[in-house]
Amino acid sequence: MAGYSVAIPSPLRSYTRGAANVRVAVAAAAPKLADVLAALDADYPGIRFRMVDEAGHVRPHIQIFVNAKVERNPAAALPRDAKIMIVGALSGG
Amino acid sequence: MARAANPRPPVPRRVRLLIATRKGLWTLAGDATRRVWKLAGPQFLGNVVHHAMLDPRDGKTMLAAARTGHLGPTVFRSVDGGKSWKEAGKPPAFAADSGRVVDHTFWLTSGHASQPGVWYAGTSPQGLFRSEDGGATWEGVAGFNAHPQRKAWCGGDQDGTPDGPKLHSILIDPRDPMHMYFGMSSGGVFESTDGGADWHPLNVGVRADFQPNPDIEYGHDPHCVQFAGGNPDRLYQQNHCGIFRLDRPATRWQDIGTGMPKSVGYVGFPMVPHPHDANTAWVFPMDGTDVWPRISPGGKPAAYRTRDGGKSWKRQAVGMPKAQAWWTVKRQAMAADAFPTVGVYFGTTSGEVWGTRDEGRTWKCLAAHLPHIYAVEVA
Repeated sequence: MAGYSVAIPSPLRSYTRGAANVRVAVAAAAPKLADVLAALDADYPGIRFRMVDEAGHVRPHIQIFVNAKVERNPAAALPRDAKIMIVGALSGG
Repeated sequence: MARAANPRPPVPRRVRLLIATRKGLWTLAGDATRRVWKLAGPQFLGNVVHHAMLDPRDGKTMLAAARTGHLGPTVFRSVDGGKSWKEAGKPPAFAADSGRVVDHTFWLTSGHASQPGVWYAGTSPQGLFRSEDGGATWEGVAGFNAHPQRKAWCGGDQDGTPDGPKLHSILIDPRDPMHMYFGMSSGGVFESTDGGADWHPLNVGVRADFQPNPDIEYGHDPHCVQFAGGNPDRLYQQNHCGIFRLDRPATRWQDIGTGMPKSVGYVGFPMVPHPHDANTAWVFPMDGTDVWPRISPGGKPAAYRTRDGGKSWKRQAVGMPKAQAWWTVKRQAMAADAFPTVGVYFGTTSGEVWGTRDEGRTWKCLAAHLPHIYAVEVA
């Protein structure tokens, strides 16, 4: 079980009851970004669909950083203890 | 289809307008005289609210279609008349393998009186969705979304509105829940007689001046389609290319825009039927010339009313600015109440709400300084 720290942008904090940072647990042996997004949705129902569309793509005005590098591929493998930051892109606001 | 008895509903004791804007949802409540108005809100501040509707069947369920600049589309629902809201557990979304993604939910329609809890939603790009639990969860209507002709009917990205192609004007026949219509911009008007399992185009007689063949079967641009008040065998349509009326069971639309003044034209977005008189309806003309400015022609806003099913139209502008008022009124931004002497209301993209309590003889500004208004509905 790996734990990940996720920074939540203000447009999504209505789901996290105002929390700017949350921690989620992922059971997968080889965790992917998609596993973290699924874990977020399990803890905060509805949050995933606001940032990932039904085709599985990160929405155009949401940006995700993994250890300070842009990562838009939900299938990307995550290093253990990676720090994940979700932000609202400037283009969307 | 036999025409059902349509007893007049009781006289309302108040009126409430749901004002959906690009930056949130407001309500504007009027008393029984409709002279005193109180603005409340915002709810969903910062959300793009394309449409908000009260369920007329229970008088307390309310849905709002929203998204934000960053976040994907969703539906919020209230079961206490808008006091509190909860997000849909499963908002409208296409099948994962469809290759399509809902950009926003554009239109909400409550279902037939015999089907409490049923709602329909129209999306951009064109999709039809149904909820059976009061808007909490939504499923695609495969009879349209997976119809083999859907792609041909809808056209490509260039065949939609500047905000994206849309499915709108979902109408449920009050006599028969299996009988439905909707409009698509683009695509045209479509009908189903089997509850949405199959659809066919219903556009004969409607012009499509922007097509090489203006008499095509589909590919039209209806801006707004409504049942005539008290007569669901009559449809009114404000189209990109004119104003039309269809009296079922006929399938050929009649051009009723020819009576509009040439200097004003027949382009507009909303079409509002009188709730008690099938011969009366309102439009709000927009300048459709040149580069399609889509503002009040000449900067002189006016509603136009017909009382004879579209044979003739009367300008109604008393109380509105006489010049230099460059308003745009979108297709969902005009509605009528159910008072014996009907009140009509509209919102502008410049954030003003105007109303009449005497069927258009005089108009008054009821609220100003709101964000860009997308929809005005009577709740």
